[in-house]
Amino acid sequence: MNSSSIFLRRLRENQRYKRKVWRTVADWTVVVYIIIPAILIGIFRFISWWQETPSWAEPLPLSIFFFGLFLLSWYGNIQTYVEEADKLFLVKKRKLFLGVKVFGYGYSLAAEALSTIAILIILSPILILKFNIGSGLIFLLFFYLFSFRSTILICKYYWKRIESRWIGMFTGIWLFAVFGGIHLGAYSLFVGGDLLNFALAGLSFILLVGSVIVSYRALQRISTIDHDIKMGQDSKNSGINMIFTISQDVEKPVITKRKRPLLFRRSKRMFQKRTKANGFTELFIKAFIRNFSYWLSYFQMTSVGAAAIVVIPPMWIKSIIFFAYLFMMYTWLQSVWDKVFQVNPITKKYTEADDYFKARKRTILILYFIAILLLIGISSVGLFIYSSFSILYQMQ
Amino acid sequence: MNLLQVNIRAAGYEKDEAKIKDIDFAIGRGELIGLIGPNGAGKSTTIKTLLGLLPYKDGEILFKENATYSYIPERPIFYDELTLWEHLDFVAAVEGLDDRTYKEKANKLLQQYKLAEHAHEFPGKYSKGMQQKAILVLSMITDPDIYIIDEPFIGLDPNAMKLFLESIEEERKRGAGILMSTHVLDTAEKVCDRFLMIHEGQLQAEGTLADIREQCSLPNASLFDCFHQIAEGKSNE
Repeated sequence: MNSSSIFLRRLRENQRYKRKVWRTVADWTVVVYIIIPAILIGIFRFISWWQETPSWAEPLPLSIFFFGLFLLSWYGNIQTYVEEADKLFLVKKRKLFLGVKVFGYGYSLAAEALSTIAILIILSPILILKFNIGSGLIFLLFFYLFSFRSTILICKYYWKRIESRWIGMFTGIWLFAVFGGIHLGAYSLFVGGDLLNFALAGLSFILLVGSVIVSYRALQRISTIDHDIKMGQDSKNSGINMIFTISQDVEKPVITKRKRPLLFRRSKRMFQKRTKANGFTELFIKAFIRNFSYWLSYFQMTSVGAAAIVVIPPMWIKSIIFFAYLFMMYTWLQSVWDKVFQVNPITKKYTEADDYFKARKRTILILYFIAILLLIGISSVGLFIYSSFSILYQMQ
Repeated sequence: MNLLQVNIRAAGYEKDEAKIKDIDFAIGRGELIGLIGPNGAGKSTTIKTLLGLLPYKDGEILFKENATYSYIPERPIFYDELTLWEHLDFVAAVEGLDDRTYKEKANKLLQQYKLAEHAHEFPGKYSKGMQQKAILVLSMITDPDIYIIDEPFIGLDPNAMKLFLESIEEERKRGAGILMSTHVLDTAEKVCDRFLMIHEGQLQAEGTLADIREQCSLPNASLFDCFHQIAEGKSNE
């Protein structure tokens, strides 16, 4: 047995687990009616971009695409493939244990490289046709993004080890600002001509070599085992939190590290009038606002809906998106309510009461109207900004 | 009249695969009944059947009219997003408890179980023993007629165990009926009025300790010996 065989076995198990989770929602009907048509439409769209730049991209400057690439660069973590049981067994074989971590790091880098290539392939028609960027510059962009992302990876590895919530938050903001500055500088070098392009290549080389050396050293430690296990779990669950939220059958993950709530401290009541319906409503609203995955999905659905309404031009498609959003949001709110009350035995026994249904209807409607107002608000602001860009573009 | 009358002919997750069969018993006022049996015998399935949590059931579960119950699971389950006080507040609201009386009782129970200082924290972050105590407080707040308790002693320190036993003794005196599934046989032998001994999904023996001894043909034996005789004896047949 060697490190590579242990790593490969764990990698296969990890992939199998992710496939299994996806299968809980993506049954053959979803595959046939949603995933396959979406892939086909995506391919046709991509081919059409080679013939004509999509209308939504026309008014957008290169800097906006660079900003999008910056946001995408934060996705991903160093995966070490360390497991809980390693504390008992593998940790005693230091070389074998650290070897697994190094292989995991190599795999993480490869995944970053592949996802960067995929993003650049998707954007290539726009980069080549609209911005006249040649293959040499696209390769330089890939090299820079890959180096930039590998640097973010190691910084996130250290950042996530910070226990204190506030220090962690401030460090996160600081990191975001510093990397934002680097990216802004890189943008200037990228558009600044041949000489500055060389400077960007040099910067990318320094970032890549530096991040690999620091990462390799960071991984040569056994004492970080708890952190490595936690990051492995987070990575294993990444992208499936939405499935946990949607699916009734899957248990939801633990959602907070806090001992006490931030809002409604000392169990402060929302309603002074203690009725049964208010009891149900209060429980649901507190559970909703204190559960990161719930309100994240709420705002994600709303912001994605608003973005689609802003960017996709024909009015009839905007209307379809709006009505699809209305349907999806209402259904989702209903499913979250049912999940909150049906799963826990403390509340399940009250779910036949009249007041339960009264509270359900009232609370869902309130959250539903807030979501619609948010959608209209964000769409209006987005449409205003987008149309301003269009006017500026036409003036040029 | 009994608080709960149980006549389960068969129950399980599917009609063709009954996990338990022919389990009949009743719980009267102030009675403490021990539900005992080896792992996988059908104790938790019996409890789930009483709570209506199993998809298939052939038989009758009759609660006395307007009787209320509290279920204390083996592994306490809380809302990750609510403090212990908010759990209590919710139960008080939906049960329609008088606000002042409920608060007095909640504070008293929290003091007794040494949870007062942690009432505004998330119980999901408590230690295992504290969670067990919190779920007891939550179940007692409504003064239920019946308690259905699954393995209550796991995770409790000796002090909390004594407090728990005193609490259920008080509840019995109030007139509550209690069904308690447990593996801690020496304690069960001391505190339970009657026993239901389940093995391989069926009721193998029931009654007082004297009845159980007689059914096992083991005069003067302990509950542990009778349990062993039923669990091992039947398995070896």
